[in-house]
Amino acid sequence: MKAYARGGDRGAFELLFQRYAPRLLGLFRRSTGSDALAQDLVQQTFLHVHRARRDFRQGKPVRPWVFAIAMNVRREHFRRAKRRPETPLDGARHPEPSQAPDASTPTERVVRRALQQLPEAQREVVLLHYYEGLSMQEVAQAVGASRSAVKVRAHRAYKVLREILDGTPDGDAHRKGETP
Amino acid sequence: MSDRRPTEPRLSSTSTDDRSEALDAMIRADRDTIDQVSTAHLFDAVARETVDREAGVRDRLRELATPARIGIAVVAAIGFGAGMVSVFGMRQDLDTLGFIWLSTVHLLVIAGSVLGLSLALRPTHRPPLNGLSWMAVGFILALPIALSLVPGIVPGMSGTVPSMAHLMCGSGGLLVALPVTVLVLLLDRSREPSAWRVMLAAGAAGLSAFGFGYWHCPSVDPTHLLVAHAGLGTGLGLVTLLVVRTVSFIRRRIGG
Repeated sequence: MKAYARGGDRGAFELLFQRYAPRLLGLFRRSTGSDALAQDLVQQTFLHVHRARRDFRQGKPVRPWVFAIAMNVRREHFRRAKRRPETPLDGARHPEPSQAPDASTPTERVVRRALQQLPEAQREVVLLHYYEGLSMQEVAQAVGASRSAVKVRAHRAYKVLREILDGTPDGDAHRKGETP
Repeated sequence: MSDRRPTEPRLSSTSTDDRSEALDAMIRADRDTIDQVSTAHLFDAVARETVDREAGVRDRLRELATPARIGIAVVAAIGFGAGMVSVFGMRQDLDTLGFIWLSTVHLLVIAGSVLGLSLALRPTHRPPLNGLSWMAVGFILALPIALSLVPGIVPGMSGTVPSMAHLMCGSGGLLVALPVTVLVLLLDRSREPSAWRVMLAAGAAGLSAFGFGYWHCPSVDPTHLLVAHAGLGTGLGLVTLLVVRTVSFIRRRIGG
């Protein structure tokens, strides 16, 4: 990262891209439901990463820095689109090209629909913590909030998700082991 | 709740363990699927725009560290204002305004300009400003107007100025504000600057133009002060926003 920040080393940039682009592509696909749009947002994120490389503080973790840029690119996209960010994770609207046909179970669809009902501030925490595997500290850096605020958001989000799941017939069906 | 990524069901309660396990399984499947997606073609496209491209002036400007970008913009804002005063000449009645009032006005103008430029060039990895960005726009656009209307700025005086004076001060102010706005847009890293960034850039440049007008023109006519001194930032911001949006629209249409 040091060599890249100083001279824009291509190899280091490619390594950075290889490490984070698939994760970001997944994040944006879950957020937008569009493969083409997700790819465009990944490109925009790495344009920003490249242009902002001299702002990176050596010795700091790279992952939350990259994800912070990605989350701001995502917010900017939704702000421009003037619509509420959605997580159209339902298999019908968000086909995963290489996903197994039986991967989208009723329970998964219920969970995905439940995620869509969360406020944006809570959903981004769930996406980063649960899906992307960022620690609470990293999520806090990525979304620009304190660690305690992020923990509260996560707690509320998981509570809401649990309540939604408790009250859905699909969830009950799954719990009983039924597969429609 | 720990900091680590959950390896055990996190939505679990005694009655919903099965759903939590399903959620974890879904996430794992989703992550594995994403891992299989090739991003090689994406890298080629990004590399063409970044590391494989010969850096032009704009690339060099916006790839500078943020303190350097802000520093360049602030120096330009102050430099253009001061330079234009030296070209157009300084008003002769500065001593009648009083040191405290003069210092206050210039402190506010410089502080507002630095604030506007800093926020306009705020890097993408910083937390979003949300509503604060538009509050800052409002403050920076309102500041020169307020300074023009505060009675202290025109103690015991009123009057009118010929329309030619509007043109002179407006032109001089525009010669200060326009290059500063363009420079800030060149230093901006985004593909298409957002509206609040454009308005902050123009507002900060407008403050610089207001500073020039304050040093150059002794007029106390409120209409003149509002139109030719204080309103430049707002007018320039709206026109710049229109131009930026139009260029983006045309680029999108051409690019399909």
